Amino acid sequence: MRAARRALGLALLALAGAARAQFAGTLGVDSVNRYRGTGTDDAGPVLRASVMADAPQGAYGGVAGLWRTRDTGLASADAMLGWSGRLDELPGLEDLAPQWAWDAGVRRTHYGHASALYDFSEAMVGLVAPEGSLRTWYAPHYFGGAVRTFYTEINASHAFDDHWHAFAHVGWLHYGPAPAYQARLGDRTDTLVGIGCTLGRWDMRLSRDGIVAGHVRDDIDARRRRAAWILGASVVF
Amino acid sequence: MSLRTLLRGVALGLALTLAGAAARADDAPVPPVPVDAASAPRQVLAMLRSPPAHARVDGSYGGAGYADAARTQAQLRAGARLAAAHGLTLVTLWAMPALGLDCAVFALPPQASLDASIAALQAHAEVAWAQPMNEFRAQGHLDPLYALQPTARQWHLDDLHAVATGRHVRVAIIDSGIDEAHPDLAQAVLAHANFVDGQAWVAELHGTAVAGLVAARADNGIGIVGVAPDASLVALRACWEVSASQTLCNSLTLAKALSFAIEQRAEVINMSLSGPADLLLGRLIDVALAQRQQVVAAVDASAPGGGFPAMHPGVIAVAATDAPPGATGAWSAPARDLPTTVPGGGWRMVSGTSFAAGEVSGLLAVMDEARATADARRAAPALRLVRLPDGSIDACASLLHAAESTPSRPPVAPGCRAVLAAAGAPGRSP
Repeated sequence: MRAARRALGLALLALAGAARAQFAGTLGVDSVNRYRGTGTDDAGPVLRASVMADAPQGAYGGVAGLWRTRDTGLASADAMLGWSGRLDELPGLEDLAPQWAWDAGVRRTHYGHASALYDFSEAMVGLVAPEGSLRTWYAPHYFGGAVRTFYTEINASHAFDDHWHAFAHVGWLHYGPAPAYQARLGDRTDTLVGIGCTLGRWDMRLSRDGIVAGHVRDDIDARRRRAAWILGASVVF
Repeated sequence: MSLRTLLRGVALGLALTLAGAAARADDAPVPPVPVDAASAPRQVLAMLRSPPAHARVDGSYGGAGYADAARTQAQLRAGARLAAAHGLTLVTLWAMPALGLDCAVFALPPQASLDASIAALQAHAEVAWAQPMNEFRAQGHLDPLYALQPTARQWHLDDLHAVATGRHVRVAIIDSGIDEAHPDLAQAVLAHANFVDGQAWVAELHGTAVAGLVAARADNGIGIVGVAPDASLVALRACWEVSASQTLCNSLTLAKALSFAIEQRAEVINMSLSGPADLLLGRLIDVALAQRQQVVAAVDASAPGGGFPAMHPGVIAVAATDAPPGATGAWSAPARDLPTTVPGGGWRMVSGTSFAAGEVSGLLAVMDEARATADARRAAPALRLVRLPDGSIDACASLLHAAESTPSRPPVAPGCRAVLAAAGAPGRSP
């Protein structure tokens, strides 16, 4: 696994240095940190920063960090490397709209305060449509555990005009067989719906995120974890 | 090396590279500036390849595509980098999702060669192609003549309207501004958009005249009757009036309007204008044709082959019935002494192929509605106009063909009503 992490890091560095790569960064704040329908901590608003690079040939990669505002230090960090391409460039699919694309990648997530126990990696394959996407993520050790997971998500967005847009997300988390010493975790479904406004470099969003069906871990206040409003703003550079 | 160290290294590397890129290119947003006729020939369009939408590392679910501010910012930076490399000025950037590209407009310095600048831009891998900003002119002469509506007689409009009137069919008119408040166009405009930078929407002569010929309302006791009096207009202002006899457009304004019409899935797109062959507009027209939108354009008798976009494959080119044979395959329609709507609530006579194109767009809207009410709708064949022996359009046979979706019908005019009734074309409820 260490070798894989190093390979990911080196590939990101190579992408960052690639000639003609396009770069985009974001700085933002969210009123609460949510991840796939649940709250990951109880530390209030969080700051986000990310940098992504796109090479003309379709490779992309980036890093992102998340910091809590009620204490100090990095809450989590992500590194990602992927490859995407237009489907209408493939034989027999020339009639598709140019927004149709395939997408594949790997992501490594590291949690700052909780040591490396919860770190995990995921691999992803996906399909992108003009106003949506379908992706499946495979994690052999979800949140550092002994259980593998598949997370399948459908995302949709619709722009009403140059500024306003709506977005929605449905995700299904499927747990694989648990080891003998651990009870099998139940699958769950999460949703997110929201509306956003883009003004130049600024993007503001209001969304509702939560678990709508299935298992929720009960080691933290289940009610608070079930659903929450998220108010966020970010600026791109 | 710990993961934390690795991530710090990756972040530092990306940040340093980003800082370098930002230092090379002006990162500030580029405000759109008016694209006026005088500057148009000194501008170049570069179509920038856009990376497909993909998963994001920042925790968002992604997939927003062209609503993605980060993507736009990255393309602006790429445009600024190209401008800096070749001594150009980035004027504006416009997403063209129908092509999967972004259109960057560059202004050339006075001493720069147009051809050399295009070649230099095309040498970059991120540039799909570059082309000059072409200028287009609305066709037709707005000469006051006598009050008469030739299509009413030649195309048997009464009979056609007994079958269909263009109801629920959207006709996008890419032209100058339409007078939406004109009483003969009441409720005719479904949506409008202005693509002429630096100018507010204004009602103008050419666009309003074409709109009236397409969809002036019937049985309201005033004015004229459009060929498709119940059609819905999508008014797209891509041209601007510089004088009473001259209306101009350019590659960018027309491309923006075409993209809008494609996104709106207008069944018919009317382009009563002409200019030089234009790669960007040609690609967008191909997209429209591929999704079964009908594109109608006016023939410019003074241009080789009838001018562009009339000469573009798949476009329904419209010439005047009394014009000498010109563009190969062009359809002829009445083009002289056509009464139509003008800004301010009035009517006057116009002449020219611009207005003949508007009539054909109206006819296609009527045919589309007739097809939609026919059993053959499921097969959704392409609309096909039928030609009379003298080369003019047989409107009755064209409508009959659309309604029945038969591969071919003999010309049926005159006696349109009887033939339509005998053939069982769907009739309109009283």
